[in-house]
Order: sequence, then structure tokens, then C-alpha cells
Amino acid sequence: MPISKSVGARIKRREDPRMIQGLAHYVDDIQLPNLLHVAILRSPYAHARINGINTDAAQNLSGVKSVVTGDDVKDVIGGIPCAATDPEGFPGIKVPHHPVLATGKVRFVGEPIVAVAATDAYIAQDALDLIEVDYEPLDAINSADAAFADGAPIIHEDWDDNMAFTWSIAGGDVDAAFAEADQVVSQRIDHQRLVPNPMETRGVVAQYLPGKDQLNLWSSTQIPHLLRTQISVMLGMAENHVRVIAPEVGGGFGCKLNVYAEEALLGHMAKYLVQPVKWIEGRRENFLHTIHGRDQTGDVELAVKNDGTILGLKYTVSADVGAYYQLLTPAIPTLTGLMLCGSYTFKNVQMNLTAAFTNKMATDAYRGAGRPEATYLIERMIDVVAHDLDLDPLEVRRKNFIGKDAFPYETGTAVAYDSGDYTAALDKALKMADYEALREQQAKLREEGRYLGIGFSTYVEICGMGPSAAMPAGGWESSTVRVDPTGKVTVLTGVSPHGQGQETTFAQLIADGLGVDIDDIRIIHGDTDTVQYGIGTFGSRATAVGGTAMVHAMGKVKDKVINIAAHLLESNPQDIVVEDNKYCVQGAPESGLTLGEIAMVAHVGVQLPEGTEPGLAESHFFEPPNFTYPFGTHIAVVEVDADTGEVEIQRYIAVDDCGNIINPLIVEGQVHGGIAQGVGQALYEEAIYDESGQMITGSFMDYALPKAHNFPRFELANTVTPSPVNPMGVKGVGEAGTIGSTPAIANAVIDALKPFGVRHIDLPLRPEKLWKLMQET
Amino acid sequence: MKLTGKHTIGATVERAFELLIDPEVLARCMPGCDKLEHRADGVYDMAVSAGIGPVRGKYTGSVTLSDIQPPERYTMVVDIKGTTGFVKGQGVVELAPEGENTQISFEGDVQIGGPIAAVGQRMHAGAARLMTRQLFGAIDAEARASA
Amino acid sequence: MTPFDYHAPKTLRSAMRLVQAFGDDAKVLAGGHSLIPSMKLRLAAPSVVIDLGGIAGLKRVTAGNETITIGALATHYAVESHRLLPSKCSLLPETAAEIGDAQVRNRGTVGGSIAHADPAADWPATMLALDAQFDIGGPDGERAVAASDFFVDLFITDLQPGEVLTGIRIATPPENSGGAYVKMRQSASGFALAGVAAHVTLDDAGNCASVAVGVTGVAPAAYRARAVEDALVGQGIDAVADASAHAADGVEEFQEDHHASGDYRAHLARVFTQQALSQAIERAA
Ligand SMILES: Cc1cc2nc3c(=O)[nH]c(=O)nc-3n(C[C@H](O)[C@H](O)[C@H](O)COP(=O)(O)OP(=O)(O)OC[C@H]3O[C@@H](n4cnc5c(N)ncnc54)[C@H](O)[C@@H]3O)c2cc1C
Repeated sequence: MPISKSVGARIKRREDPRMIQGLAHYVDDIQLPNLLHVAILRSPYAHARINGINTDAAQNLSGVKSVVTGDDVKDVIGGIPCAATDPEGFPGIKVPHHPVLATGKVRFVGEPIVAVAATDAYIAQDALDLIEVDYEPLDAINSADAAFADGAPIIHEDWDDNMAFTWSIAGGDVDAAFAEADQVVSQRIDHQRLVPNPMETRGVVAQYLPGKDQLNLWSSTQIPHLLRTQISVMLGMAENHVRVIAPEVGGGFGCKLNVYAEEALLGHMAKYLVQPVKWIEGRRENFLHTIHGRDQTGDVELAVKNDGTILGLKYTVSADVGAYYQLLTPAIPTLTGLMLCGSYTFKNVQMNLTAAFTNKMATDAYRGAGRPEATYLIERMIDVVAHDLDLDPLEVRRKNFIGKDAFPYETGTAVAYDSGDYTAALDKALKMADYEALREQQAKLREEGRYLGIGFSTYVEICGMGPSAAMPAGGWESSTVRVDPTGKVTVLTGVSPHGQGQETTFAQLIADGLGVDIDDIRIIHGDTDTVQYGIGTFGSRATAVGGTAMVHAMGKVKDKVINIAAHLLESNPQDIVVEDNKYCVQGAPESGLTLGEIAMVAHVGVQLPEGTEPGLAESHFFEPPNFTYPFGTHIAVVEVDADTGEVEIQRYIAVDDCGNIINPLIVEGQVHGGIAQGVGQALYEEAIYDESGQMITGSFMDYALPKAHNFPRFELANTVTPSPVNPMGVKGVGEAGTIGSTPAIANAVIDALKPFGVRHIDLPLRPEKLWKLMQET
Repeated sequence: MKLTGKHTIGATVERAFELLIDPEVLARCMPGCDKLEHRADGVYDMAVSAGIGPVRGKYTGSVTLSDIQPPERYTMVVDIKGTTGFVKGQGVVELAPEGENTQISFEGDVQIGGPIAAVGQRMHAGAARLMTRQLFGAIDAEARASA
Repeated sequence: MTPFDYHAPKTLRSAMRLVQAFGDDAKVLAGGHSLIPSMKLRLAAPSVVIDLGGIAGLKRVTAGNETITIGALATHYAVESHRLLPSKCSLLPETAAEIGDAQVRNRGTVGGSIAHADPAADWPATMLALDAQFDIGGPDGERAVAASDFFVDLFITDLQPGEVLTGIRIATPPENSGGAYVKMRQSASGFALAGVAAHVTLDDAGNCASVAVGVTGVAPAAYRARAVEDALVGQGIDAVADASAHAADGVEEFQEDHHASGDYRAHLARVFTQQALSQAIERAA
């Protein structure tokens, strides 16, 4: 991609001033006349039968307008949808009905039972205290192992066990690989449950306009269009009478790539009460009833040669998916399967997954969604192999890397890596780190009883989600580019940015492409009445897929602009060039026309070349031919305190390759946040449910998010290997930091503890765990 | 959550046992007890305003004393709930002479649910132990006062 | 919401009158950084809130040659940023700087933290190590209680119903004294997983004429590690390691949760005692 004026420049995010100044409008900022506030009674039990609900006192509380139970809505609101339940893909899958309000039974702490609408949020909350639910507590299940144990209580009584679904993938000849191996290196690896924790919790405002039979639904969502489709189905309304608006969305990390009970419930209540309603999720509710991530535990076996060559991999894993499915629950571990081979050449691979229902919140897409599991396990296993064979982990990596000439490269799991040069990224990172010197320092410090560790992650991930054939609900994207008569440009995009900065990067592309000032460009997204159908923002797809749709739409606009310019300048289209934001005949810049002058002609409609439609707006729907595959090398340098086990990250070096870069500042921002979240998984975060199914890490007093003081200054760089999948050559960088960083930190900490014979430790690497291991030897 | 502990009561085993299962004594000694009324065989309706530090709540429910084997042991089940959550505990209390005094040891299991479970976990064990300490401490004081 | 009456007295006297009038139904409000979260979560619902924030006289921090005084309503930041404290008693600003983040330190108060007596709060350790006196106003007038008699149990102090903590007095440490606070942050809350404050005064030979060690985060209430102190008095830095081994002696019940077991907290108490004492002695010399 040619680097021109804007593209490639470090331009500050145009969306930030309004956010920093408190001028952005989130769901909770929406005020409507006669707005009612909704509060939701949630189960305090993980598993219990509901023998009765008495709402009389709540109903009689002054200010309460409506009290809704599961029985009230079970025939009028459809079940919460899951888009990944195809029995061909998931043999034996059980798809339980997932009601918006529980009836008969509750299956996890936080499950909604009763909704109350009142004139203010406090009254609604007070009313909840007056509702009496007669619970009959049942034994709870808090892990996949417990779900499969003999005599385990049954969560969904339509079936006689808690097996949710199975899934498997295989490539090559695994048996032959293991037969040929000098050694089999195995390890049980846990991917703990995590809470996505966007800064803005979820929230919904719903308004019904009876004269138009129209439902307006504001939701803090990543997928306004998919949500509209689902809500119309759940509520039995015509889709074109439902308008979903994602206003400013304060982060999602995948947890807002979903359809939740509250969205349908509020839509229903607004319509039924003919009065607008608002629900803003509390942080406690967010912990309990917004999807969680990860929660897989499995046994990995690698067939290896004594020289470190990997021949094959087997992964037998169970996933604890919670009590019900949310939108994509079963699909997440399949992404793990696709990426099991990592950046390595072995093609003999097999994964067998068994998923269990438990008395917990559903798991679903959380930043990385399935790929962090794959990367963590293969990158961790590379180090285990190095440990067992007494090799340098770098040597094992280099020995197995896919060479740069092998692309496009088809893996054992039948995905086709688009482009890559893994060695280049590694070499660059090593140089930045001064690897040799680090190893020397490590040896010296060890003699002093200090434990420095150096950890690598040479990840590759899959993003730019589509193509549609590989996606549960469409993998294409859309855009409309409109030029107003005065030359201002409005872009409608089907993606729904919520922190990724596309209002800036998309404008950069338009500015250069159409020859217009960046301040004259507006990017509109997230309103289904304004924007043509689109899929949304997730899976690091917005630029690679949505940006490409826009670039194509812009190309159509530009062709028309050039045709009109040629006509006006009495020249040929092929002789028109854009210089200094003017369309001119090559070699005659003084006669140039601005985009505004041409747009005016297009709208006035009298000076157009014959046969040209008036107006200046074009749309494009882009279906990507493939995913994209960003990659890179992350190196972490940590010191583990010998006395306390506390981990200090001393240096963090990341060389990421996300193809061409539109805005380095935004790429760095995505990498920063990504690293922080991945480090959170490595060192701090864990959603813990106790044996009775209570979530005991249900606030920031106990659920540890990483904080700024936990990090050194990141040392970042890039290599640039353009993707052939889209004309911009971009890949996506929303999740790479998260995917790459977790194993780098884990490997570094375990490397630090090598003198103690430590081979593997499950995450999070709490100080006490490390201290104990140091005591044992 | 497991809960175990030992306390000394300044009375003979027989006297200590009497005090321990006397609802009037319990009502006086149980921290924050607002009401304790006999409902049925060994089952008492209870209302307490209990709390630790920043957390205060009103709870209602029952205490059940069963398997009563004077003066050696009995089983106690506490099942209360309020708007801040629920507490369900059961345990065996055993008495043994310790010189002039009585040593009480108990072993039980406590389940805490609802809002207090999600936000107060670091305090659960401490709070449960504190409350049992307060209960047995007050009974000890009664015993010594009436001795 | 449970409605509550809000009072904002301007003087300590009217505050005391209100506190006595409302008794158990009332909560005094200082920085609100513990009380307001509990109320928001509906885990506490006092019917009267008496805001001490308007009483200017309770916010002062002074550092004289004889005495350091900290008004109960002084914020952590007021201590952290006090001009004279780094030279008069560096342990105080050092502890303040370890609390939460800048926002918390600008809101939370020293008195609120002490009165609240969170088992993992930082101030109790330092107050114990500095042998602070707490001034308390109540129905029967004023009284003073030593820090070592103040922290009784989990969130339980010697403060009686109707009493208000008004200030903290600390004898300004003599020359050749030094202090240090060492803490591991609980990774979520930032409170002390374990925290040890040590304060020593050296004699002419460089041995410890007096030693005080306060430990927080480890037991239901912050405590003084008397066994450590006894082992170190009259001794020099060489005795620190052995003495520190006693930092968790006598603790009957440890704080335990998924962040750390009791054993580990006891271990941290010993390690941090050694570190804090070594630093304190170095600074005193
Ligand atoms: C995000 C966050 C992080 C924190 N991190 C830490 C940390 O790392 N270390 C740490 O030690 N603390 C930490 N804290 C707590 C903070 O230090 C608070 O300031 C402290 O707990 C209470 O002080 P306050 O002034 O806010 O008291 P308030 O919340 O106003 O009051 C607390 C309690 O004390 C009572 N009270 C207050 N003042 C008096 C008085 N003068 N007399 C009698 N009773 C009184 C109140 O009635 C109430 O019951 C943190 C708090 C937050 C919100």
C-alpha cells in the first residue's frame, strides 16, 4: 500500500477529544420523556428449583410500574439465540432452551428471574428486595470434571447427563507421527476462566413508538445489525420495525458480541408498557451475567524427535461452557482447534473437545476468543519440549518454523496462512532485546540467588473474520461512501467500532483516496436505520473486512468523480490525477477541481457526462476470500523475587506483524492494551466459583485486573508482511497483543524458575504459587 | 467453607450444655440477635442484624438444634437470608471437660451466597470465626457471671 | 434506596452532639472510600450519615519538634505531601504513598482508615510502629488510647458507640531513628496482602535502643510483633534476621483467601519484617 499523506501517519484518534471531555454519549446518557428504570432480580443460588415467586409487595410499592416474571414472558419472548449449534459440526450437541427470565429452575448465580420497571432506579432496586422467591437449593457443579462425575446433578433435565457437545478436528496422520516419535512430551494445561471487564458495562434503553409500530433499542453492543435481526425474531416483530443503535460503546472485548436477555426483555417491556425503559448493568451484574472467556482444561501431547522436530500434536480437552449457550459459545473452542499448529510445520494434529454444562455463566468470545488458548498451549509446549530435551526454546522454534517461502501455507487443520516471515520478526525482537546479553545477565544473577527469566512467544493468529463460509453468522462487511454537494464525505460502515479507532483510520484512507481534508470526513456506524446491514466489530475484522468494503465503495465514488472531472476539464479519465486535493489533468495542476466542486456538479445534475447518474454515493459489500494471519514475536523479561515469589516485568519487547499499517499510533495503542490483558491472564486474573457455585471474585476487590504500575515501558516494533487477502494488505491487530503476551510471560516466569526444576505452572502465576515451588526444591 | 474452632466456657460440662441449648441464653448471646422463637421441635425462628465492619444486614430464618446428646454434643443448623444474601451453616458442637471448665469444639460447613458472597469473600472466614467467638465468648461470660 | 438523613456539622462539638443523638443508627462519614461503596452495594444502610468533611480543624497535619499531629480528617495525600514529614518522620509519607492510587489518597482519610480497621489497611501497621496515640471524643469527654490497644479484631476497634476519632498524635522521633514500610499489594484491591512497618531508634553503639514493628494484612487485626521487638532490643543489624523469624508468633488466626494462604502471609510477615527493620536501621544510622 503506498504510504501517502494520511495513511501511515501517527494521527491522534479523532474520537478521543469527545471522550476525554465527557462529551461522548453512552447508553446511560440517553434521556427520554417518562423513562422507566428497570432492575433485575437475579438468582443468589447456582442451582435451585423455583417453587414459587411472590411479587405482590413489589407490585404495590409506590413508583413501581411493572413486575415481569418468567411465566409472564415465556410465551412472548423467544429463547436467547445461539448461532453455533449445527449438529454436523458439533455431534451430539444439546441445545437447551435459554429463557430471558428463569422459570422453574435457576442454573447459575446471576441468572435473571424477575424484572421490575419503576419511576426511578432506586425504587426499582428497592422493589427487588420485596420479591420473595421460594428456592429449593440443589447441588451445584463448578467444573467440567464435576459435571461428568458419577451421580452429578443434572443441570438440564431434558437430558440425562451434562455433556453439552463434542467437537473434533484432525489433520495428517497423528498415529504415524506418534509412532515415529523419539519421545512424547505431555502436559496438562489449564486456561482459567476470565471476565472481560469492559470499562462500560452493558446497558439498554428501549422505546416503542405505537403510531409506527417501531421499536428503538439502544444497546452497548458490538453487533447492532445482528442484534436487530435476533431481537425481531425473539419479539416476533418485523425486522424493519426494529431499530438498533449502538451509541458510544465503552469497550467490549467480545463480551458485547452477543444477544442478551436484557436486550429482548427491555424491548418487550417498552412495547408492552408503551413507555421507554432503561437498564444499566451494575459492575456486580457484569461479573455474574456478562459472558466469560476461556475455561478449558486439556492434555496436550507432542510427538517429537530428539533434535526438537515436532511431528504431531494431540489435544484432549474439556471446556466448561456454563449453564446455557450465548451467541457463539460452542464456536469459540473451534478457533482453538484451527490454530493448534501455531507457526510450526507439523501437520499431524488432532483435537477432541468435550464441553460440559456447569452452574456458571456462559463462556463466549473474549479478546482472542479461542486463539489465545491455542497460542498459549503450543507456545508453552515448545518450552516444555525444550525443557525435556534440554534444548534452547529458540532453537526448537527455529527448527519448526514455517519458512517464509512456504506461503500461502496450508496447515494440518486446513486453514491457509496468507503470508508471513516468522524468522524476521523473531530476529528483530532478539536484536532489540540483546538476547545474548540477557542470557549472560541471567546466569550472573542466578549465582547471586536472583531469578531472571526470559520468555518467548512466536505467535500466529487468525483474524479478519470472514469469509462467510467459515463463520456462524456472516463474514462479509459493507460500506457506503457518500459525498455531499459541498464536498464533505460521509462514510457508513457496517462495522461497529467501540475503541478500535476506525473513525480515524477509515478517515485516513478516505482522505488520501478521495483527496479531501480529514476534518471533512465523518464515519457513521452503529445505527441500523442509518447504516446498511453489516456484521459488526469483532475478531480483528473491522479494518481488514470493513475497511476493504469502504475502500471498494470509495473506489466506485472515485471513478465517478474522475469521470465527471474529465468531462468538466474536457479530458480523458485516464489523464486525471489528484494533486493537493485537486482533480486535474496531468501536468496542468492550475486547472484542478476540488472534490466539492465536482460533488456540486454531481448533485446539481446538469453538467454531467451523458449517461451518468446524478448524485455521488456508492456502496460495496465485501466478502473476504480468506482470514488474515498476523504474527510476531513477544519477549518478556521478568524477575521472580526469591523471597516472596512476586513477579516483576522488567522488559517487554513486542514485534508484531499486522501487514500494512494505516496508523502506527493506533496500532501501538491496540498492542499496549492487548499486552496488558494478556499479562492479566498470565499473572493476575481468575474468575473463581466456589463449590456451591458462588462467584467469589465478583468485584474489583477480588478480581485482579492489571494496572499501569505492573508494567515497564513496552518496547514495540513491527515487521510488515502485507496480506494478499485484501487490497490494503492489512491484517488486524485488535487481539494480537493479548494472544501473544500470555505465553511470553508464562514462559519467562517458568524460565526464571528453571533452577528449581519447574517445568510448567498453571495460570495465573500468583506469588504464593511461585514461592511454594521455590520452597519445594 | 469449613469452619472449625475451640472455645473455653467457665462452667462444668453439664452447666455449659444447658446454657448452649437454652434459647433465652442464645438469644442474648448470639451477636445481633433480634428474635429467637421456638417454632417446632428444636427449630427456632430467628431474626438477626448482623454484620462485620462495613457490611450490615438484617437476616431472618431458623436455627435448628438436633441430635442433642447432653452433655456431650449436638448439631446446629443455621439457615438465614436477607437482602444482602444468605448464610447456611451446619456443624457439630462437642463438649469436653477441661479442668473446672468446658472445652467446646465445633466443626462445620458454611455456605454464603448472594451479594455478600461476591464482594466480601476475603472476610467470610474471619467473620464466621469472629461471630462464633462472640457467641461463645458471651456464653462464657454468662456462665462466669452466674457461677 | 434506603433513605438516610444527612448532616454536615461545621464544628466538632455539633458533630459530637449529632453522633450522640443518633447513636447506633448513625455513621460518620470521612473520605467515604469505604462507607460509600458499602452503601452503594446496599451492604450497609445507616439511617443517618454525619459528614465530618466540613470540620476544618480536623484536617490539619503538623510536625513539631516534640509531636506530630494528624487530624482524623487529614487525607492520605496530606500526609504524603507534607513538607516537613520526610525529615521528621519519613515512615508516615512512605506509608501514605503505598495506599491505593492518587484518587484514593486524595479522598480517603487517615482517621477513616484507622476507625474502619480493615484487616488489610496500611495505616494500622505504621501507627503501631510509631506508638501513636489516638484522641477520641465521646459522651464522657475526651480520652486517648494507644494504637496497640486500639485494633481489637476484624473491623473492630476500641471505639465505642457514640465516639469519634478526632486525631492522631505521634511523638516526633529523636535523631538516629528510622522507619520503613514494606508491603505486598493484594493484586486486585491494592490493600496489603501483608504489610510491615518498622521503627527503630539506635543508641550510640548503633544498637536498637527501641524497636517497634506493626504488621497488617496477616491477622484479623493489625498487631505489634512483640517477639521480634524483644529479640532485637539492644541488638544491632546482625540480629535482624533471627528476630524477624518471630514476626507471626502468637497469631492464632490468619487471614486467608484465594489471594494468599495463612502460611504465606505469615512468611511474608517475616520477610517484610526483616526488610523493613534492615531499612529502618540503615536510615537511623
Ligand atoms: C479503590 C480503593 C483502593 C484503596 N486502597 C487502599 C490501600 O491500598 N490501602 C489502604 O489502607 N486503604 C485503601 N483504601 C481505603 C482508603 O484508604 C479509605 O480511605 C479508608 O478505608 C477509609 O477512610 P475514609 O476516610 O474513606 O472513611 P469512610 O469510608 O468515610 O469511613 C469508614 C468507616 O470509618 C468510620 N469513620 C470514619 N471516620 C471516623 C472517625 N473520625 N471516627 C470514627 N469513625 C470514623 C465511618 O463511619 C465508616 O464506618 C482504598 C479504597 C479504595 C476505594
